[in-house]
This record gives sequence, structure tokens and C-alpha cells, in this order.
Amino acid sequence: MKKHFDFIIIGAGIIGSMIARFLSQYHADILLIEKESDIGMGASSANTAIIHAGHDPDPRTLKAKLNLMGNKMWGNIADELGIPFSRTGSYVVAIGNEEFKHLQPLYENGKKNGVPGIKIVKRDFILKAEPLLNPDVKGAILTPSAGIIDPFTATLAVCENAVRNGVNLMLETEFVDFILKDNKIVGIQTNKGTFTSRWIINCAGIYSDEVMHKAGIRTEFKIIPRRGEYMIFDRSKITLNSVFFPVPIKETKGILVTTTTHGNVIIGPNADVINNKEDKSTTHQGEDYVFNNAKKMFPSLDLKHVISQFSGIRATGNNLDRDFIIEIPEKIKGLINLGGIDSPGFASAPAIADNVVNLLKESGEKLLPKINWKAQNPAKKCFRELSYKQRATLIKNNSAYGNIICRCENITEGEILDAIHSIIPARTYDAVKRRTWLGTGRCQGSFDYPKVINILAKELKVPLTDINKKGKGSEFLFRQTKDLETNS
Amino acid sequence: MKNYYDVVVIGGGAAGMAAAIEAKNTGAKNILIIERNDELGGILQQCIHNGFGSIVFKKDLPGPTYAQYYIEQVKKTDIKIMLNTMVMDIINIFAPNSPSPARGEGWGEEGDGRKNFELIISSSIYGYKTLKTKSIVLAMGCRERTRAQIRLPGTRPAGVFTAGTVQRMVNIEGFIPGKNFVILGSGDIGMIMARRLTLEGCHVEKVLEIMPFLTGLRRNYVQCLQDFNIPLELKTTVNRIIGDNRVQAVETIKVDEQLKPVLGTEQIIPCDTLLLSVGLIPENELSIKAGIELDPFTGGPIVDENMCTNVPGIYAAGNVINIQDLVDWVSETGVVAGKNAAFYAMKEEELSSRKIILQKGENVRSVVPQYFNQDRIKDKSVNLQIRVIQPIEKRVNVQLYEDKKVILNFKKNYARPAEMITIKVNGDKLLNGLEGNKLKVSVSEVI
Amino acid sequence: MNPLKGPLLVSTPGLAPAPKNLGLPRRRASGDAILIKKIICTRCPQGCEIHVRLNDTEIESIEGNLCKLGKDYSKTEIIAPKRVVTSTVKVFNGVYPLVPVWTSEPIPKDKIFDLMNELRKIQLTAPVKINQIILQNIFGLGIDVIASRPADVIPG
Repeated sequence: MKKHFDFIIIGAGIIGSMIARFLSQYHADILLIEKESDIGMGASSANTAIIHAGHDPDPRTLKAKLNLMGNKMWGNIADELGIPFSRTGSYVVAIGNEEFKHLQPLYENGKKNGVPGIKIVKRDFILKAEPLLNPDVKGAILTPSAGIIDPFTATLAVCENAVRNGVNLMLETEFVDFILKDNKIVGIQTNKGTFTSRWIINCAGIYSDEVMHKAGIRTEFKIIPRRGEYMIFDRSKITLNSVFFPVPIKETKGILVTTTTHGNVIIGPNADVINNKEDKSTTHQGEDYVFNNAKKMFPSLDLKHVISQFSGIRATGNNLDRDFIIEIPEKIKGLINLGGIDSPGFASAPAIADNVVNLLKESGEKLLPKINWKAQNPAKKCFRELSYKQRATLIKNNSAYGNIICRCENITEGEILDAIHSIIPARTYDAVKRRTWLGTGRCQGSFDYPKVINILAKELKVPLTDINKKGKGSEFLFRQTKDLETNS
Repeated sequence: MKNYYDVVVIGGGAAGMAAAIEAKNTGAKNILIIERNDELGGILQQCIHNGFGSIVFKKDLPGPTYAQYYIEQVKKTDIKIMLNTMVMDIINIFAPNSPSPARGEGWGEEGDGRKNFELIISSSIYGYKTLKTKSIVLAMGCRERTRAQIRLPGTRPAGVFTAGTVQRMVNIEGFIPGKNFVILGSGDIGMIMARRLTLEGCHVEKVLEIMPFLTGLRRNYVQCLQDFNIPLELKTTVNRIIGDNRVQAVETIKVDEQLKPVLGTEQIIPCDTLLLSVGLIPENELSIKAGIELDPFTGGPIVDENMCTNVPGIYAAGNVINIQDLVDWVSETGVVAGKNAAFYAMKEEELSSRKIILQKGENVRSVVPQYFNQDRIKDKSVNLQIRVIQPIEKRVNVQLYEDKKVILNFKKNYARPAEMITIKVNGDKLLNGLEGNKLKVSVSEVI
Repeated sequence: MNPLKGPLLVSTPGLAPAPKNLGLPRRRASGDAILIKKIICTRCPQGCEIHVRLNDTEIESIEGNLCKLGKDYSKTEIIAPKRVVTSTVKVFNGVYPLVPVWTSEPIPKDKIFDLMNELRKIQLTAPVKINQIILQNIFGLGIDVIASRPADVIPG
């Protein structure tokens, strides 16, 4: 096993993966470590799935600059990597005259940030664009450059591309401590052994504070985990074409009502400060708050049509300006420190990676571009998007694609096998689900559970009792029907 | 395998097999059963408990034994079977502007020219192709209500399953998914699994039911819960799920008359598995694609006394119409659907006539069929199936009336939501008493 | 007389509340104890609640049943309760790892878990025929355990 690298990145969320991809363009040995059983299991797969236009952040902040830049860069990256991305534009909707007054300062802010095409539209315009809106809408700010993206697919595509281009990815590998020598970081200790490197890049999300503290950096900085709950609706009952924000209040953008790239309406997120960084529960109060606020904009929303609920945890920092921290600390060498990457983190990701590469260059790193860097990934087979003829041909060539495993979303055994044998293999049920989209429809996995567990066991060549939902400790099956527990 | 049929039955469970056999007996020639599983029998194969066949066979049989009778009947005929095959879409090719993606591929080459429907199927054995048929019987059964549909808060660990999924795991795959179980829902599946798991050495802590009454059969309460001292708590639900990677506990809470949680009544029950038995929903993805009108109260197609949907030539049978409590009635609807699907294919279908609409009156949740054809019910008796909203543990009147006039009255000993009420309506008697075309059905206490 | 008039007297939660002193011994004038046991009959879906009055171990009266089946059921239930048992046994070389089985007649309730233990020890080899006898004359009761369905040999 390789032990020495030029760069080690801690955390394979969208930020870590994007930085890995950018660095993979250069001749360098790169290690990307991730403590979970799959990449992107943190906020990267549990967010509102929006590439923000950038009208919201304070113009003096890094957030504003990188949001604008990232928004532009996503178009190219989505094309290169075949990521579902659509510039739907977004609206900040003012219901009633009082809210309408708040639009102007927000519009000015957006203009200062350089948001392209930003304008205020009146009631008739917006009701024509979206007839389901509350008829008391007075107007909105339209930002045509905003878009929706599939966040996990994006993170996976970016990470797969990094791996394709030589990045070493190690899952279930957790950072423990830094190895220091003469006030320089020369490596890290993990649960899978020690690795040395010239640079460590901290992309640990909600744990970024704990990582940087191990280097004695920013001891007063703390991540305040803020949980946001979401609800997804049955797309046969309601669809929207765009992203809708309420007029913002205090520290949150408010409860959005938007569409996903799969065509489902998603509402959320609220913001609950929580103690336990791993507490991703959904709650009654959260549900009530999210739904009641969403209903203000869209009165026709009906709780009966909810097909899924989940929550994500923001890595909000306690720094006064709540801005991104992207820095080479003065106190210690060998570290690129990132912290407090919450919204608009996903939209800014390409720009953040670009920023990190610049920091490295400015610090004297000679980065030699590869000639044979592969910008694209091989196309993936997505059965439900194929035409009749394409499906028939696909199945003729490989019969596994004819076996429909997920009835609601039309996911085939072929795609499940692809996910298990892909460059970043899916080894858990949730990993298969994130890659193939199975079990996300109306039946939520009731039909496919036993089948997927069987397929995973067969392909991974492990007993059925080893197959789990999201890593060790989340196994589905305890024992065979006719075995008895020896010590209950 | 042929590409054209007289009758295609979608689903090879109790309803589908009964329909196919009856279609054959009625005289249809080319019949096909399409089944997504790797064998016939549907859900019966995992229902290894007894309680099936008391009406059809006058016996008390396990599910697989009941199924085997029909499987053997099917195998004796030349009914074709496609296993491991999913129907992706139904296209009514006589509908204006209906798309036909297979046009150009064998269109009009086979058969006698009059083709009513196209089905697109997907199978690793047969590939992705189009079949043509004169009539269809929808017999896809039902699916289970999920955690998301009851919006159960908490974490998302492994160990939250619907009861039917666990039934399959335990009885067919041969694995037990836990040690200490809590079951939400006193429906039959939940109670049956409580017993099954206990017999196989697991511990079932409690069965919780949000309603103030048992929602499954009394017999199951005795034989599945009482027999094993498994407590049943009514007016109680799960408030949240606790556990990070695997379920560690559930928090229960009492509810009031409006089924709203009563704060302060929370209790934690440590467990490693939560089984959800919170309702069955007819499986109608395909019906919606075929343009079939559904009844929002049953979740299934609106049908007439012949089990015909609003699309002529498409019939429905079994749980896909309405969740049945006895498989015997599932087979019965299969027989009616199969017979009429055959008649349609043989061009012997009766013309539809003036509709008599059945409306829901007092205490009626659903009525199937939802309408009668006036000319067709002359000289005939038709079964009407009614599900009530609230239980009445006293003698009840099941009445069919028009305005204030009671046309037909049936007395029953009680009315329970868990047990479908079936009445035999004499068509002539009904028509004699009816003036207009709207009939109300009500279930109320005998005073 | 309709024995079901009035609220259903079952103390099992959710059916109407039980009347007082049901199940508690009372004293006759002579001083002997009387016990009233309440049973839900399972012979048909009606589920009559039947009250069996016992004098020590002798049945004095049975009330609440709407038919004779209920009367017979209550007697058996008090004296020697029986149940049909349905379960599975392991199959080697079959399409599925288990085949469902059942006791074609009810067996004494107190033998249920003993039977489960016996079934656990069995491994059949495919093919298995429907109604094939898996265990004959269990516990000397003259009752067999039979297969509920056929089990085919795994192809290939």
C-alpha cells in the first residue's frame, strides 16, 4: 500500500472530491480519505440541490465571490461529467406588500455581487411562469443563472473522475491526528495506518473544526451543526419548473420550494442547532415548520403526497462573519485549512477548488499539468432514460438490464450490478440506492430490499447477514430462520 | 413465445390465476399470464399460515396450498406463462393519438387484424418487446404503506421494515432481520408476523395500534397475540425512531380522538426492529398509465358488476381493485373478470347500458363495484362489497336506498372495518324499486 | 335472546370495557369458588365473546355463543386448547432454502414450541411433494406435519 503522497485530502464530500479532481490535473500523488462507507454521505447528498445564483451573500465575503464563480463553472463541469444540471433560474418571492419592500435591498445586493441577469419581476410575470404560486404574490427577484443539480450524482461523478485520473480513494478511513515535525505537518495518523504527505487539505465538513484543532489552528473556531429537514413529494401529484425562495429572514434563506432533477418537488430546510453532529433525525416540529412555511408560497401542497423525508447537517462556523475559511495558516506549515463551508458551499465548490490550487501555487508549489488528463467519465447506462429501441438493444446485449428490480422508478438489475462494480463501488444498500435511484419512489424499497440484499451478497461474495444499509453496524439480517441464537 | 393474445392477465397470483382459468373455460383461446416473480402464486407463497379457502374449498388451508390448486389448474391448460417479466406500459391503441412505439415492428403482421391493446414488457429472458392483446385483466395486487407515507419522524437506521417484506425474508429467503421487535399496526399482517417471529425464537415486545379498535381479524388477535402474551396497545403510535446505524428503540405516544399525539405520554421501548403494518394500497402504477379511472377511496379502478374498468376491454380483479380480507373473494373477482375479458375478446361482450351509480352513505368507506349496468343486472345476482369506516358491534342494517326510500335491506350481526361486508344483490328486485339511476349504500345500527 | 346485546364484554384493550368481577372468583352461598373465563371464539370471523362458568375444573355453563361451533370451541379451549401450527423446514438443493409445512390438524397448545424445536432439526432434500409427510404422528398424537406446497430441485 502506498504510504507517501504529495497531497492528502481529508473528506470526500463535494469539496474534497472537487479539490481532488482539480489537483488530479497535475502530476502529483494524491490520497483522498473518507471515514464513511461511501463518498458524499454528509451534507453533499442532503441539501437543497441548488446551484445558487449568488444574490444572497454579503458582497464583502469570500462566499459572494466564490458563489458567482462557482455558478459559472458548474455549467462546464456538468457537461464534461454528464451530471444532471439545469439552469431553471430562481425566484425570491414576496407574498404581500410588506415582503415586497424587502425585495429591493436584496436585489441591490445581488447586483453588487455581479449576479448576471438579475431583475425584479411583477405579479403577472411570475404567476404566468408558475400558476401554482400563492395568488397574493406581489413580485419576485428573478436570477436566471441559478440552477438545480443532482448533488450525490455530482459528487460521485467528480470523485470518480478524480479516481480515474489517478487519485487514491480510501473509504472507511478516518483521520486521527497529524504527524508533526519541526512545526510542519508531515503526515496523518488514521485508523488504517499512517500516511506521509507534503500537504494535508482539511475538507472534513462538520468535523473540520476538530481536524484543525489537532493542528492547534483556530482553537476558538467551532462548527455549530445546524440541521435542516426536507420533504419530497410524489411527482405525479405536483411538479414545478423552478426554484422558489421566500423573502429571507435572519440567518437562513428560509424554506424553499423547488424541484429536483428527478422532477419531484422538495421543500425545506429549517435550521435547528443540534448537539450531536450525527443526529439526522426528522421531527414533528421540523415537519410542521417546513410544511407550513412552504404552504405560504404554494397553498396546493398536500401532506398526503409526501413520499420521503430526510435531513442534512450544515457545517456552519461560529466565526463572526460566517464566511468560508480557506487558508494556509501562518502558525503551521503543510496544511490547507477549510472550515465553515455551508451554503453556498455546493455552488461554490469548483471555485473553492480553484482557490485552493491558487493558494498552493502562491505558496511555491510547482504544479505540472498532465497531458493525458481525462476530463470526462465514461457514460453510465440509465435504463429509464432510454427510448424503446435503446432499451431493447441494451437488454439483447446484456439480459440483466431486462430484470426490473425497482418497479416504481424502473431500475434494472444491470444498473445495480454496474453500481456494485463501478470505479467507486457501491457496497451497501444506501450506496446502491444513491447511485441507481432505486427505492426512492412510492414503495420506498419494500419490494426491492430482499432482491438488492441478495444481489449485493452474491456480487461481494459475502454472507447475506453481512449486507448493511450504510456501513458496519447497520446490517439488515441477523440470522437464518432456522438457526437459534446461542446467547440471546 | 407468441406476440399476440386474446386475453393477457397481468399478475399470476390468486386473482390472476382464477381469471386466466375462467377465461379459458369461457372459450378464449390464447391466454397469457405475465408475472414479475420467478413463480406463480403471488403473495400466497409467503403467507404460510392457514385461513385460506373456507369458502372456495370449505377447508382451512395455508396460502401456498390454496395457490397450488390454481397453479395445477393453470398447468393443465395451454395458458402461457411469462415469469420474471414486468409490464412497463399499456397502450390503448384505439385511443386517438395514442403512441405506439412498436409500430413498424411487426405491426399488423400477426393475428387477425383487430388488436385492442399493446403491452410493453421487460424481461431478462424475453427481452424488451411489445405484445398485442384483445383484452386485459389487471391483477397486480397491492403494496404496503411505507414509513414515509405515515411521516414517522426520527433517524433512518437499518431495521425499519414493512411487515410483508419481513414475511418474505423469513419464509422464503430464510432470514430473520432482528431479535427484539415492535410492530406498528394491528392489521392482519402485523399480527401474523408477531406470531411467526415468536415461533422462530424472536421476541415481540408489543403491537401498537393508532385506532381505538383492532384493525385486523379477531381470530388473529387470539391466535397471534393472546396465545403468546404479546401486548396490544390501542390509541398508541410510534412518535419517533431512535438509533444511528440500527434501530435501538422506538418512542411511543398515545393519541386523542383526532389521532393527534398527546404530549406527556411518551414511552421508550428498546428494540432492534420496527415492523410497519400500516395499511395496504392497491398497486395501480400501470392502471394510471393505461388511463384507467381510479376511485380515491379504494385506490383501485372504478369497476362495474363485470369487473370492467372505464376502458372497455380492460378488467380488474383482486386486491388491485380493493384490499380483500379473504382470498376466496379475490378468486371470485378473478372469475368474473376472466369470464368477461374472454367474452370481450370473443366479441361477445354485452353492450354497456345506463349506469346505476352507487354512492356512499352513512358509515361507508368504499363500495365495489362502483356502478351497475342497468340492462346487465336483470335476471342476475351481483355481489356488492362494502367497507365501513367505524365499527359497530351490534346488529346492523346494510341498506340500498334512493332518496329516502329503502329499496333493499340486509341485516348483519356487526360491522367492522377489518372485515369487508359482502351482500348478494338481486338485480330484478333492485331495478323494480329504483326510479332514477343513483343508489346510496349505508351501514347503520339496527334500532 | 341475542347474547350480543349490549356492549361487548371483553377486557382485551380496545373492545368495550369488561364488566366488573369477570374472571374473579366469587363465592356461592355454599362457599365454593366460581370462575368465569372469557374466550373469543375463532371458528368464524364473528369472534363471539363467550363466557364459560367454571366450578373448579367443571364447566357449569357456556354463554355468548351464537352457534354450536362456539360451544364446542369453548369446551376444547378450556379443557385442552389446540392450535394448527404452520412453519417452515430447511430444504437442501431446492429452488428456495425453505419449504412451508403445517400440522393438518390442531395440536395441543402446550406442544407448539416442542414442535418448533423438532422442525428446526429437519433438513429435507428437494424435490418435496405437496402434502408429503414431513413428520409422522408427532408426539404420538396421530397428527402429521405435511408440506404445504411442492419444493422443486434447483435447476442446473
